[in-house]
Amino acid sequence: MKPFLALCKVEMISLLSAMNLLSGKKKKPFAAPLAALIGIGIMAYIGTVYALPMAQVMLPLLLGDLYWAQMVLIAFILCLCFTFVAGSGMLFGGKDMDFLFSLPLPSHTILLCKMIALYAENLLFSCGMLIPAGVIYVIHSYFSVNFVVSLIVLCLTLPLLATIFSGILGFVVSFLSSLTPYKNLFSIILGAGGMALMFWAIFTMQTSLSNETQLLAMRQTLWNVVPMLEWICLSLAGIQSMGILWFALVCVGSLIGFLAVFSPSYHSIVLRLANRTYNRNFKMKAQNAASISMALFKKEAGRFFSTPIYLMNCGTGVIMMVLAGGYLLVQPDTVLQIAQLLNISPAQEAMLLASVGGFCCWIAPPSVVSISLEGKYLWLLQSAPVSAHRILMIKTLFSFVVFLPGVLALLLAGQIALQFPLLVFVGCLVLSLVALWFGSILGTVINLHMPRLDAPNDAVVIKQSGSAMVQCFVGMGLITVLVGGWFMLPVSDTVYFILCIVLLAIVSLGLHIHLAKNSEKLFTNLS
Amino acid sequence: MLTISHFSKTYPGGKQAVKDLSLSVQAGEIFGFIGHNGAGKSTTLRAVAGILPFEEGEITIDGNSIQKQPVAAKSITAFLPDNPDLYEFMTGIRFLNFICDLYNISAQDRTQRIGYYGDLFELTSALGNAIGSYSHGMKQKLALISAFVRSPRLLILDEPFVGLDPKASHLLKEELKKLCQQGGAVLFSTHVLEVAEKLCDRIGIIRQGQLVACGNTAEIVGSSSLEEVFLELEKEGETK
Repeated sequence: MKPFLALCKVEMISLLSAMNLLSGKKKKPFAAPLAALIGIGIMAYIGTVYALPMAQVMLPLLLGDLYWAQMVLIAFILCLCFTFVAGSGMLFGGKDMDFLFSLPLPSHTILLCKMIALYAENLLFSCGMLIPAGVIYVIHSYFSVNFVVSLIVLCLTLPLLATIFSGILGFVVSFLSSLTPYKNLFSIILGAGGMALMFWAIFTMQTSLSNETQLLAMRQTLWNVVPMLEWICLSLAGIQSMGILWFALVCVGSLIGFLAVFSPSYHSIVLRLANRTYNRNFKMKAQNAASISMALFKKEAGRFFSTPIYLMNCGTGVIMMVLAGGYLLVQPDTVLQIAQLLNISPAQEAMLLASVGGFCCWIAPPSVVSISLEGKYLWLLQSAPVSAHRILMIKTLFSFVVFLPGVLALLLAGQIALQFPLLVFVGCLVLSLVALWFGSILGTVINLHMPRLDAPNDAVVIKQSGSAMVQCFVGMGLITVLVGGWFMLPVSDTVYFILCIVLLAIVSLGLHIHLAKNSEKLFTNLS
Repeated sequence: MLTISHFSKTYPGGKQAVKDLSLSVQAGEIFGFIGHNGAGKSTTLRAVAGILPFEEGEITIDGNSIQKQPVAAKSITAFLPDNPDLYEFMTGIRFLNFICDLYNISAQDRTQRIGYYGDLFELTSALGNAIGSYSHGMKQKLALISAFVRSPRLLILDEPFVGLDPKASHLLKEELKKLCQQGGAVLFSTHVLEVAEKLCDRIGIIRQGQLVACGNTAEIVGSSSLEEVFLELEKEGETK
């Protein structure tokens, strides 16, 4: 038991230290818990922002079971999207595996300890989503001891199921990756597939809300395809209290099953996966030259597209904008009806559209983690004959270019669906581009001041570093301030539109001047 | 080629890693930097490469200050740290092209140089694979190729022989000599005193951040061996 607890302690310390806000040799004792709290806060914010309008629409229609079906599905898929990469890396390809297997410990102890660390991460994510959803449910529906017990059991067991799925998917990804030279292709396909499934589920549920027949059919399909979802949702909605117990038993049983299947051959599986590498025989041929800027840009692109967790976290905004654009094209009447219901002008519609775009661009641009991701490779850029300012501007430009197709898709779809007057469209385009540049350069500046260069892996930098969290909060805060200002300031829509463009342009210029003056010193000081 | 004048480095927290160090490396010279762990060798090499900021002293490469004209100084330099981490998401050939792009090496030159050094270090067939799949020795060879393809006028290497097989070590020594014959200069640190003794034209011994001996290898070694001289100097340092 002692070795097991010692190993669990090491894994937990590793998880907590991974959440440290900043890099540096002197760790502040409060930094890790603070970072964990900020992370939970962000999840809670997202959970609240999503659950609140759903509760307002669904709970008055007595659709508590479907409200929970939606929240549970989102929490589960989000957990999976974030941790299946870790499932592959931690369980079947960690760099500490040789050391761990050299210790006098049975394989199942090592596997269990790794899974506990993965479970802790999933627990944070799912609680961040489900607890706010529970609070909102209580406010809009009813409170009972049964509900609270069911919610606690759900919060504890759903991450268990996500951990098992992460383990299975991690194994599949590790195995498939060992067969091809495209190591990250399967991770990207799985991650994108998970995201698409989640968006599809949400889209189907929301479009069914207005039609009772569709709603009943969808509910029945959900219960038939995922019976466990029915057990959970009926328990939380107070219809069938034993369902959550069955769900908990299935989760614990699945864990035992997973351990029983993988434990006996865990060591040999890890060894075989580590030794299976795809090799191609390279033949030298004439090479092509590129400019310094192009080389740096291609390097940024290579890093972005070959790191699944980077692509999925910092590329979500683009996917969201493309999907929002698609929705505008497919359902223009619905959007127009809402606009008429709210009695808003074309300028206000354009402002809302730019706000959606700004939200997507500001939450997690690639530039906010790209310096941190240099980490142990930083010496390559620092010793290269390239100015720090140029390196940072290429990072900013890459962030801009990644989001540009999403912004343009959203705006063009908006123009087709909502038929803005030309001037309003041009204004919206300028505002969106300025907002996109602002988000990109803000990310670079934040990351330059708050780099996390000593992170144990990419996931820590992308999901838990201080700069990623600060950017997320600043992005959400700025959108709130700008939209709030629109209601509060006694100026016309057009004037407010121009005000936003000028304000963002001035702040962006300020950030540019800051980089031009200080980038050499700040970049050389990174270590 | 390289001049270090009164260089001192104090890390945040007050630890002084290097104190008032001055030395120069001429074109055509191999300079060996020797010292125990934590003596200040890597700190000095990193400062010369422009990676580590410093407040006291001056470092110039071919007349260009590493602090005031960093791009000009770095463009004729190649630096490899001990245990160099290379972009694991890139293939070997993509990494070499990336380095060549940063150093403005023409398509023709890079094709010829990558082909030559790839064959020399027997790495050509593996250049199409991701660096993440390389062994430690292969990564070390790739890092060395990336340094040589730049045809640097100053080569700065921190513990370059670690992880290399005997054949690759021999090739590296030959290439270092060749670089110097072509007018280049080499500054490298090592713990392998036999290599330093045989390879270096001049040697500097650093202890607790201070240069305690510097000169021609033959003068420093005298009638004994470099190992004996080094251990004697260490002993003197301990008794002080």
